[in-house]
Amino acid sequence: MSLLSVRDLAVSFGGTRVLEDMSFDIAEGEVLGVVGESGSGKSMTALAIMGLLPMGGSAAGRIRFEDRDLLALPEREMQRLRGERLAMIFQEPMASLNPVFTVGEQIAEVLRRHRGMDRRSAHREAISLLKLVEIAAAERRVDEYPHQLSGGMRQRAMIAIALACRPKLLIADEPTTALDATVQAGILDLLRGLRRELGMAVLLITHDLGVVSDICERVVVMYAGRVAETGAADAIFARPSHPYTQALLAAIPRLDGPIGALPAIGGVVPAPADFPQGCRFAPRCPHALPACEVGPPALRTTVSGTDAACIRVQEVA
Amino acid sequence: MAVAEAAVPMPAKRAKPPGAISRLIAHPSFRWGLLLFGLVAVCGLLADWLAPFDPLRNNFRTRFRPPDETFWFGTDRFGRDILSRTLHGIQVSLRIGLGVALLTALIGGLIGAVAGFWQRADGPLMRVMDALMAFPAVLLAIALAAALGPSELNVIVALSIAYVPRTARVMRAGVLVVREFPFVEGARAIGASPARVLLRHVLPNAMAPLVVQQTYVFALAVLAEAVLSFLGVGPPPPTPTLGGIIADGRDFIQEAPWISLTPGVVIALVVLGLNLMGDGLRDALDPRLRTAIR
Repeated sequence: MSLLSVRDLAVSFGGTRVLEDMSFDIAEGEVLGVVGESGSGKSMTALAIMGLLPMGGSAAGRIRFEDRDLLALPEREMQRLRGERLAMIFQEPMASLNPVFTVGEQIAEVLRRHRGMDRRSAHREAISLLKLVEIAAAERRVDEYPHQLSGGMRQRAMIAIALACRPKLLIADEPTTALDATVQAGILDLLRGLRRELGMAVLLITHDLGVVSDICERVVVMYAGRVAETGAADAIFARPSHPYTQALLAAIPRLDGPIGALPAIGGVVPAPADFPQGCRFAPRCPHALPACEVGPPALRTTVSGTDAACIRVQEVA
Repeated sequence: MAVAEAAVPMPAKRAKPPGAISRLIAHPSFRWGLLLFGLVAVCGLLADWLAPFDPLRNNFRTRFRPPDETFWFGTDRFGRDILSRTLHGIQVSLRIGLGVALLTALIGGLIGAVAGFWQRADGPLMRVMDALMAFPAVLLAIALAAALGPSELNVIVALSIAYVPRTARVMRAGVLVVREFPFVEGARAIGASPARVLLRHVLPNAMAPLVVQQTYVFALAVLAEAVLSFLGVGPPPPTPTLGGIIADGRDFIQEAPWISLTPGVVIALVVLGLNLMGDGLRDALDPRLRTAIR
């Protein structure tokens, strides 16, 4: 049975739907990647699971986590779950720590909140958590303020906060985007190692396909608030079926590729208010037919074993 | 698990960056402000020891004495020593100023924090504040003080009500900025309740403008107390207050200008000192200006 099961999740702001028909599962200990451009609904998916949608946002559908429907859970229950069974790390390590408290105090806050630890044992546990995320001189760093740490160290500290209660599911919203390449690799290595060590599942949100191929077992490719293609990471990278996934993969610059202009997908992602009636990728799709504009295409199984939302998937793949 | 950077020798403990206090002392206008205000405040605090005479005792043989070696700043129409009265008046004025600064910080801070944090409370709360703001603060304070009756506590209450909207606005603005910071979302993500998010994560980061604002409110309250006393709705006579002594001298300004002059100068020094301190605090607490100070 899966740890998290999302069914027909839709998120809307006022009358505008920014996300719909979102369904996926995460098994215990699995790493699922959610990829897509800015505005494709990746972050909204994460926030909907955490119950932290911005003001005015509402979620419909079903999000089942360990036999509980998160969307039906009262706020108090959600508060008990957050940071305990369900943790999240954010995109901006520079601003995600409170500048007026030491790193140790912020780690201790979770432990005191959920584990009821006293100040001293929480401080001790904070040090061992900083060691767990491989911060050198943890005994000293624990009493330092965020501004005294580098970007990479801050993200490690964020991970320490998220892991303090050994959550079953870690949602990582673009955890490496704001970091430079070598630090990025270090953070990904850390996540991979911790996930194995602690046996937690990870929902990794990114727009970086390199990151996905690096650590994800399964992938959900999103486009304009809907799932375009989903399946095993190997299959999607070896043989993408949806025209959008194909175009996305073709747009990755390769060291051994021809020298010249980078391939790009023509046009831009439509704004949520102007999402087309039918397949949302149709206006930018080289294979589009009039039939594509009739209604949103359902997911169908492809020859490579993935599911793609494209009516021409048999011919295109 | 191996610690990645374990082999790297630990850097020597970095020199601590200059703390807030030393940064403040280094600020020229804060230093001058502190000197002025501190001087007056110490004189006020030590009034019981410093005052050469009883500030309340009438002596008809020493009426309207100009400054001399016995009465350094002269006497008033009841023969009371102006220096002694002024020293005790400082005490009353500073008590009222501090009381107003603290009370508005508490009430205005709370109103502003709630209005900034919970959007549903914002409209109603801030409209009430706007309504209060529609009256000139001193006029409102005069009306309230007159309605409540003359006493020191009532002056504090009246002035606090008059100045709460400014404090609330400053606090609300700070909270509106801070609540959008990612670490606030981070606090929610670890399961903190909304009240905890506000009190522990938002407020400490939104306090700086309030602290600065309250030094100005302190100065305004000292000034407003003088106005109220001058008009006769301050603490009741014979309590010596700075405004009250000025009012005492009003009828004799031609013949005995020293009566009004001494408390007037003291008020000016207090207000100047507080404003200079406020400027210093603002510079020290504003990270964008921090480099400019050195």
